Amino acid sequence: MRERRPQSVGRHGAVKALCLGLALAALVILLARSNASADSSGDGLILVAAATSAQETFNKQCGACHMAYPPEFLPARSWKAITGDLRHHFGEDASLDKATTKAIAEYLMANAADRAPGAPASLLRGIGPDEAPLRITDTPFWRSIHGNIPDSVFTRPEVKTKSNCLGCHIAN
Amino acid sequence: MQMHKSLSAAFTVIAVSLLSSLVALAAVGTAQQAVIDHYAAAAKTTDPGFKGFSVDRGRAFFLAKHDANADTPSCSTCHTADPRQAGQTRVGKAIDPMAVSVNPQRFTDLDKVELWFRRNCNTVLGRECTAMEKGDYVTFMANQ
Repeated sequence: MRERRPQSVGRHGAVKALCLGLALAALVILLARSNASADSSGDGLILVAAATSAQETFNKQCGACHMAYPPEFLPARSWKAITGDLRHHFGEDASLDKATTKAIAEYLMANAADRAPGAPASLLRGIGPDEAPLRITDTPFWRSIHGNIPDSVFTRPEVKTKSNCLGCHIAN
Repeated sequence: MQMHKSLSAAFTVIAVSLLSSLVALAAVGTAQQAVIDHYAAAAKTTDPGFKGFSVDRGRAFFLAKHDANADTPSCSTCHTADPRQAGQTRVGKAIDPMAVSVNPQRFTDLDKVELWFRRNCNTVLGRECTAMEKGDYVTFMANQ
């Protein structure tokens, strides 16, 4: 009896992970849709237009090397730390001119997990007020969803790394 | 008659080789040439004996391996050894080919070219590249 317990816990964990995964997928789709509608509406307020422009800059510059990660997945202090040292960006020099860096930093911080209106509280769960994780994959939220996925999945040629969300989460 | 035939054959060979060298020169677009000229002017200021850029030196530089960064030892780490092929960033994002023949937009915007040279040279070589290295690189890619 006792030997079977871990298995049932594992199953329960799998169901929980699946639910969380579905919730995350819904969140990503919602974020993508809101971004798309912001892009297509040309008649918004000036504030909206300015925000779209910074978002486009972020998409273009940061998206040149990796997926333009949704800012909602990290707190503002994390984005501040990341954009504060683009010269040393995970082993690469990703530095940009001051004005571009500032625009991207402001966009990311304004839409961060602790600032974006309506961002789920679960995104910040387990992150201490003094902690500023530099990787989305280091957050308890990400780990709770992906924790039971074997490393061999992440090292598949079409995935390469945990940083490649779209290696598994197919776009469209 | 025989003499006349071989003479005309020789002329044909000369004409064809002249024409193909003209075509090879013309293959470097004006926008790419402007970028190359920019680096040539910079190279002349540091080396008064500067005699132009070289496709072969550019190729060797592109394929060379450096010690500054174990994850990215060479340009070809991400761009692959064949610049006509698409490359891939370390996180799996596709990089459009560098060869101008398959990607005519490459090396047409000096600001963009400078941005990427500054960052990628720092990443791969641990320093900025010289005007000579940049000019050789662009010359190589413009002839691929």
